[in-house]
Amino acid sequence: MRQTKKLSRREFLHLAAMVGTGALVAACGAQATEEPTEEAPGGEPAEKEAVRIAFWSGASPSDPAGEAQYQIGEDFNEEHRGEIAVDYVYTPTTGTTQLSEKLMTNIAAGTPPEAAYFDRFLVATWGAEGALTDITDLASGAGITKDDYFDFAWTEATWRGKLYALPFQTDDRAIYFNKDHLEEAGFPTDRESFPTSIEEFDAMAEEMTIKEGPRYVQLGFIPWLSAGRIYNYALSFGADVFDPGGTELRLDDPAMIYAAEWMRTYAEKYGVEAVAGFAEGFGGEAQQEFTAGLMAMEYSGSWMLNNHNRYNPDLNYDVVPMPYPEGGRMSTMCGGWSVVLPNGSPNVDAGFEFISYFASAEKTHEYCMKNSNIPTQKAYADDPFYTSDPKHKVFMDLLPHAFPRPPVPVGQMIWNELRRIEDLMSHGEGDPTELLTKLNEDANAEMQEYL
Amino acid sequence: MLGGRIRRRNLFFGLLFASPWLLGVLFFILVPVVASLYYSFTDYSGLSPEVNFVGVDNFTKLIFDDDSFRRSVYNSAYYAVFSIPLGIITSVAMALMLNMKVKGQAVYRTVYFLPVLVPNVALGILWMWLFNAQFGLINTLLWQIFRIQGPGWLASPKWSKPTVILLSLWTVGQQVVTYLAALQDVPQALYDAAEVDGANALQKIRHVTLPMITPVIFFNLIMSTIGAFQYFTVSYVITQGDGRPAQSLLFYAMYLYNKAFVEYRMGLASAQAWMLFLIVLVATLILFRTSGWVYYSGERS
Repeated sequence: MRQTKKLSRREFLHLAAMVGTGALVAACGAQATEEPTEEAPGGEPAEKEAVRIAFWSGASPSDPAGEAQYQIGEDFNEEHRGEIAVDYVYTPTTGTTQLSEKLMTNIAAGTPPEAAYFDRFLVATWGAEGALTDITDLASGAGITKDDYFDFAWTEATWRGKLYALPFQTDDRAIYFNKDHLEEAGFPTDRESFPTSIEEFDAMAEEMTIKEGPRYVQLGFIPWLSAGRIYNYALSFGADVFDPGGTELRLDDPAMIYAAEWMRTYAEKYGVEAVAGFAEGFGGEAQQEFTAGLMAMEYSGSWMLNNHNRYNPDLNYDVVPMPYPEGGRMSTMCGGWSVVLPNGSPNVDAGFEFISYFASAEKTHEYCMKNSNIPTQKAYADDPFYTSDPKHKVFMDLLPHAFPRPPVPVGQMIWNELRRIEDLMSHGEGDPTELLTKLNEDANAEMQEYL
Repeated sequence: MLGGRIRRRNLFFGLLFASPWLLGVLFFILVPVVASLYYSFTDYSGLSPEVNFVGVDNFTKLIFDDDSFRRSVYNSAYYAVFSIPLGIITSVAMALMLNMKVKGQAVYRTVYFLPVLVPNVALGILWMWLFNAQFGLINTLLWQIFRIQGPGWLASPKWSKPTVILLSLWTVGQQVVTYLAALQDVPQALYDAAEVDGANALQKIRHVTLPMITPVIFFNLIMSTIGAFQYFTVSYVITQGDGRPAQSLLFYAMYLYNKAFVEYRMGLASAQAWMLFLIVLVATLILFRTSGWVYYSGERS
């Protein structure tokens, strides 16, 4: 009996090995037959296969921006049928960095997509680091020049005379206010009556903050939400951080410190945990606090007009420039995106064909009309469309007074560190002067490595 | 005594059969580790092949000049100091309870092990929702049943680390299983002897059970220490990489990850990795040195 048991175990192992090998061969065989055949059936000449390229963007196709970008891709495919076909791939940005980790990892590994959507203020950083392809020659060959664009946009897309990106759209920021909440609190709701002094603004915010027991049911204003950033507020408060063409940063400018302090006082006044609990309960763009009518005022960008209209068309609101203290000015920060060819792009020519189409004046104009953005190309910027909506007109009027982020190779580092400082301020921790002075030292020191 | 030729042949075949593993260790462990040590003394970015020697700059910059680094060390140490003892105490207690002969013992054991099978990412997202200060189930229940206004949990810099430590207790199932195995090995004769000496249940646990399972406790202590300093996934999912609120959840491994794969400063990140190795090595050596309390029943007294 023992004898048979021994054999049957061996038999089982033999059987298992055969079945396993058979399955392996079948799987490999199936993969081999999936390879597309090059030849077309019949005697007709085979249709030329379009070159497939990939375009990675951080805009989700389920949001209006991503949808519009996807559409540009489809229009491109239509016009270039049989030549180039672009695949739109959604790759979200990481945390608060404005950068796609997936994109960066693939560039580092040497397997990037042909083209990508890239936040313009980061172009100098990553261009200087060698992560983006130098497209200076390609651009001049295609007749694209500095004069086609607004100065700040072209400057952001270059570093040391080399072009690394094609600017796409821009945007700027202001105060959105909910007219109903203002009326309930007894404030006038017309634009002209809105205070330009920060002190009055703070008082209004306090009036419109409503608590029920320990919980907030309506917030007047919270500086660190939406597009609220130390740098953005500092510009309105009169900051002079960077000289165009210069190499010295002044991140410890008094207005920067004032902005950080101001942010911190809100955290201390309204109770960090209660606000955090309120603000963190909200998800993506559809559930945004101001859109949902739970915040009386918000510092946000021109692109949000589209969001409010889409997700809450009944919202009764208006827009005004950011108020400021004495020594401040009417100003704002202008941002925006661009399209790039990652370093190691497998098909530079096809990639450039696509990005020059994507960021062309016409396509950008179409995109901007759908998303309440502003083109960086001068060609269509005067189009009456951009001032036809009285709310958008506020953003357009602010543009000549707007500043971009410093277009320097420490741009990413400054951004990450400022986000860290904002995190600390919004929790009532840290000393603004100390933090900003140190940041300024570190940023200037690191800049030296690139000069 | 084997002849020279036969010994050489044995050696050859031995190496041949071990070669897959040897090559694996060489290429996937040794070479990267040595390369990492080399890079820790350079400013290698990871993006461009340019490598410049910078000596111990990376190390000094991190230790003396980097606020976030010091915070990450503090956070990881805090996590280790609290989660390890809590984890051990909880799992030993649970193992003792799950060892009792009650109806449905198998069901209870399974249920308490199940959380271990939940992927870390799902764990992070699930508990983010449960701990949400405004709408989460936990605060809602605290209010409805006990009329207690719950804290901000993960949104509060004060509460965030205690919250993730509490969270880590959900997956003690793995440790519990090892203790259950150890408990089976405690000789019944010892319990009988203790009974004869008039010991009650608590005294039996203290004087018989615990000493007998100290080897397994020690094993889990070492493994937990190593694991605690490498804590990454759950905090990354919850904070999306920046350790908010107020960097209270910025752990060592996450800061390392950011330096390496978000800022592309591989040289600096390699320096961090080697410092972590040294920290864990020192901690483990200290634990071994002070392990006199472990009773190995196989040793001669």
